[in-house]
Amino acid sequence: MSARRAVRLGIVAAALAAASVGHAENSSLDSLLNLHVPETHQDTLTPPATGPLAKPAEPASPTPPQRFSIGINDLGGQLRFHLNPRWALEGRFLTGSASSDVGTVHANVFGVRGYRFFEERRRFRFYAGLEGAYVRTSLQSVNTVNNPNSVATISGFGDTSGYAMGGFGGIEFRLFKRVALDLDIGPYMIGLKEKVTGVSDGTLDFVANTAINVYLF
Amino acid sequence: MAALLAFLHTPALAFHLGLGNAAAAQGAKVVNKANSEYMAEGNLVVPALPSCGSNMALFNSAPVTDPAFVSFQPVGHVFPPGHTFPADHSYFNFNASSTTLANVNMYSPGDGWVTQVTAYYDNVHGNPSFYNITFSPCAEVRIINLSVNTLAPALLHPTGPSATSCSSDTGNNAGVVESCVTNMENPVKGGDLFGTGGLVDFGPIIDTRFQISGFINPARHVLNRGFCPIDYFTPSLKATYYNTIGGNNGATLIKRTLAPLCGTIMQDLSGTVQGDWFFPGASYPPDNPHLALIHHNVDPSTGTFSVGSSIPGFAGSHDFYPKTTVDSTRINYDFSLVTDNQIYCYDTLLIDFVYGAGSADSTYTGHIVLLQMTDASLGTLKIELQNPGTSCASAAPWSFTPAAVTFQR
Repeated sequence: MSARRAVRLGIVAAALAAASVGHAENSSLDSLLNLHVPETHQDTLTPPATGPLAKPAEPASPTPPQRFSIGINDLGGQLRFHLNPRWALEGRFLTGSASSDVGTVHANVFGVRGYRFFEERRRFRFYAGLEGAYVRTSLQSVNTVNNPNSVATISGFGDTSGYAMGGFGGIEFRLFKRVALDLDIGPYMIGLKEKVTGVSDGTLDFVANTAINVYLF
Repeated sequence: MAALLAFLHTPALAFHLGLGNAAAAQGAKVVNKANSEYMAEGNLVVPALPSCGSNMALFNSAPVTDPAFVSFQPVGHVFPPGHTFPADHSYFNFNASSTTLANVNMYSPGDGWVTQVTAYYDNVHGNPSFYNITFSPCAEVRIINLSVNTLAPALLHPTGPSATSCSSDTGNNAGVVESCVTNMENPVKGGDLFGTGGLVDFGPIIDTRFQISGFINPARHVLNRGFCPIDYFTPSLKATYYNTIGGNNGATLIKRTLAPLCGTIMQDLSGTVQGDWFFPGASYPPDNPHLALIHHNVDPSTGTFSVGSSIPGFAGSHDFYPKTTVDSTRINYDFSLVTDNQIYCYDTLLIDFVYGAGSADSTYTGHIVLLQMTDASLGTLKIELQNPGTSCASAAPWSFTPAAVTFQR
């Protein structure tokens, strides 16, 4: 099973698990689907005998849990902590791969994000933020058959390290009470330096990020 | 305005799904950039050489100007067991005594870089007995194994970075006990002195722009190695050298007259027994213990059994004059005429063609060689040297004994 497929299955499993949690708590899924127990009607229009007013029931919590979440992003994971309803910090880890002329490059990214969330409306809320990340890549499945003098024959060639930094704006959609889907996009500057040759390069790219977050409390 | 134009010419920003993939893509970009800007000479990282493009006229200077030089050998010479398969290089042919040859200089055949010098020692405490030089005129082409007995001072003390490592690798050179490889990127001009004495091989040429085609089992071969070195000279030098390609009997040039004049290392002929055969389970390289059923590199009208150590009693190179038309005898057929699963017989083996056509080899008087491709795909060969004390015709009907050896394509 590929890593990407495993992550996708994980996302589905997390969503289902979160859905079951939501069902157990206030049947929010029923509410979402507009399912109600039929009300019983009295035989007369006469109002019932008046008595002392019952103490009103404790209102449901107006905001869902949003203090701390754990999430799965595209081939990685993340932990988010809300300082308050508007501001949050997140640490995350991502992986990725790409093809080069001499083999497959595998990347590990260790990032920190700062979020500014806006008011939630109809289970949507916009957010924006900044991210800084440390990046490491390595070269795997090296193939130099057609060029035996390729620098890729040198041990350790293809190991790079550097940074990624960028801004992003996106939207969070609350699927269930504790489960939210995040999608954002923004420009990122990624700069890496190859360790054997010292060759470096920086590029500004647009990056889209997706994640499923489960709010634990 | 200039800034606007620059912006408009800026490629559109790439889009990536996931920061991990974006980072990997940037890593791949850096790897590709480093791989194009640098190359490896052994364990030394040096700036990459410029591309050859489609240029073939990369050698602009005579590597030897000494009057003792006569000609270049066509590629494809065999000398089992080291060169059981057609050799992937040419040779310098001289008309001189070994004493005179000690003073023959070798010069750089073109503008480029010496990228490696290997010193071979017969005695670890003494001076090198000879050196092998690797020269590259550009990134994709290199000529290796240019041997000299004494090295030019400029190569003993190269400019720029260099790295030397010594080992017990003898390079299959008799008497050698140690070798020291110095990787470098030392610029030279055509005509610069490489060294003096000990000139033997000219090549092989490695050219990663091309692949030699036609091998029945290409996976067994290095396809970008073994091109004709003469083809890399400028037109005037190339024409001069093409007029002298052949063998040398010490006084007279024996020109190769059949195309390709520079010879070839690829003599496989699909659907026939001609070409390279591999001993099952043995690695390649080295050439031994394999087998080549080919034509001679100087006189291609001569057939050659080039045998490693795998056929009892039959090691070495053995020539014969083949029949070029089928006559129903199946005796001494040219290898290109052996196209089925029948047994074929060869007799009247010759002394190897070295300084001209050889006479009958008395060692093999009364011997016959039987061969048969035993499967429908013609990919398996059975071969045996027998000593019936008579000719193929008299020894018929032929049959193999348990001493027969099997080879594969």
